[in-house]
Amino acid sequence: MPRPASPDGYPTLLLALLAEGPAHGYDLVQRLAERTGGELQVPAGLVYPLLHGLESDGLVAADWAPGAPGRRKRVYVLTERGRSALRERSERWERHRAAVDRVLLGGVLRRGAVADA
Amino acid sequence: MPDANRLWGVASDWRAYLEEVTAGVNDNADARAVREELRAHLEEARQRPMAEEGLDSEDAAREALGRMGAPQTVAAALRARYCVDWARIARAGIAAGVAGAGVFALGLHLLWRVVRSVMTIGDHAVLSGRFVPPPLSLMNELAYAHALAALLVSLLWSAGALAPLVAALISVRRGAGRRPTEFPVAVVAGLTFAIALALIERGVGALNLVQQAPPIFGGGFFGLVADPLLRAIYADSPLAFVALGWGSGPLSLGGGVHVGETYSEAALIAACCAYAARRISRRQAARTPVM
Repeated sequence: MPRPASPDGYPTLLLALLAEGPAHGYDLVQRLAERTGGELQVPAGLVYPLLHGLESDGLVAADWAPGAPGRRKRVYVLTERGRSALRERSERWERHRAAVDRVLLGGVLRRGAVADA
Repeated sequence: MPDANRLWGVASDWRAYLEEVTAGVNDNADARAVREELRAHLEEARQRPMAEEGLDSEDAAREALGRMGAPQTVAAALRARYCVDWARIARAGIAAGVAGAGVFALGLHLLWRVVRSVMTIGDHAVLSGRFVPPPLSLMNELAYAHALAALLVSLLWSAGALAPLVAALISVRRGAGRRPTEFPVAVVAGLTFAIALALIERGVGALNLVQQAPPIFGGGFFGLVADPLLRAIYADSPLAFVALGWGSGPLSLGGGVHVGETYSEAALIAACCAYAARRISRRQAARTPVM
């Protein structure tokens, strides 16, 4: 399974998807695959432990809603705490990405300069 | 149209998968809820390939199952979220309990010394003649005030020790300890440990008392059983207080303080255990193999 290069990884992506509105697990799996062009495809069964972990930490809330006839599904909603955690993690990710860019792009530029010379 | 046997095979595949991934979940209610959620996912995942790719029901069901991930991996992730590591909790609970009891005992000892010093100063003042000896009725009043002060001290101790317990319980409820398996384990382990410690301590005291005093119930088996029991009650045994709710008795002058000690010891140790359980569960969550 490809891993997002972030300290918080998939839980942050799930928080970001839930920031757009309540969703259930299947919906989140689909949207994650679509948004990343299939680059980050988390096995569906692993999304649920992550969601339960976020729920335990109070970052999302969940409730059962009617699904297919005779079935229920759990719908997850981002909490206020989850929203601020998402904000904080997004900022951290921006800093992380900028730092990596400085190394990678700096290296590319230097190599380009050496090649040009 | 798929025949009934093939569909039955798919259903049993799903059931076997769900059973396997939730095998490590301690609490049955949790396991049921997880299975229901995963099954709802499988149902939904089955519909899409049927509608979009024209797969038949059986193939779509197998496809949905295939996308769930290896059962061992999912089981490991669920275990990390839901499984209680009994040995770790026991070890951490005992360590935290011993440390907490040590700190508490030291604090109690120091405070009791201060209280007793204040009382002794008062007694010396009376005995040295700096004060005119009070009449008997006033002595009774002083004794009564002494008892009330002891009770007040015990109540303050209990309240002071219960505060961290309440705070720990609230935080455990809000945090990782929301999992029903860990919350009662930590509290029950802490209380049991504390009461066991207190019983040993008081039991030793009661035996000493029995050795020094003549038997109440005489000899024989009844006396052998009833005497230590009664003396344990008189010696402020925590079991007696818990069982009878007896906060004041013949030894109520010191009894108030002892009751406070017993309950606050139990409360403090339970708080330590709950906190330890919370730390452990957070550490377990951080070790989830997925992330």
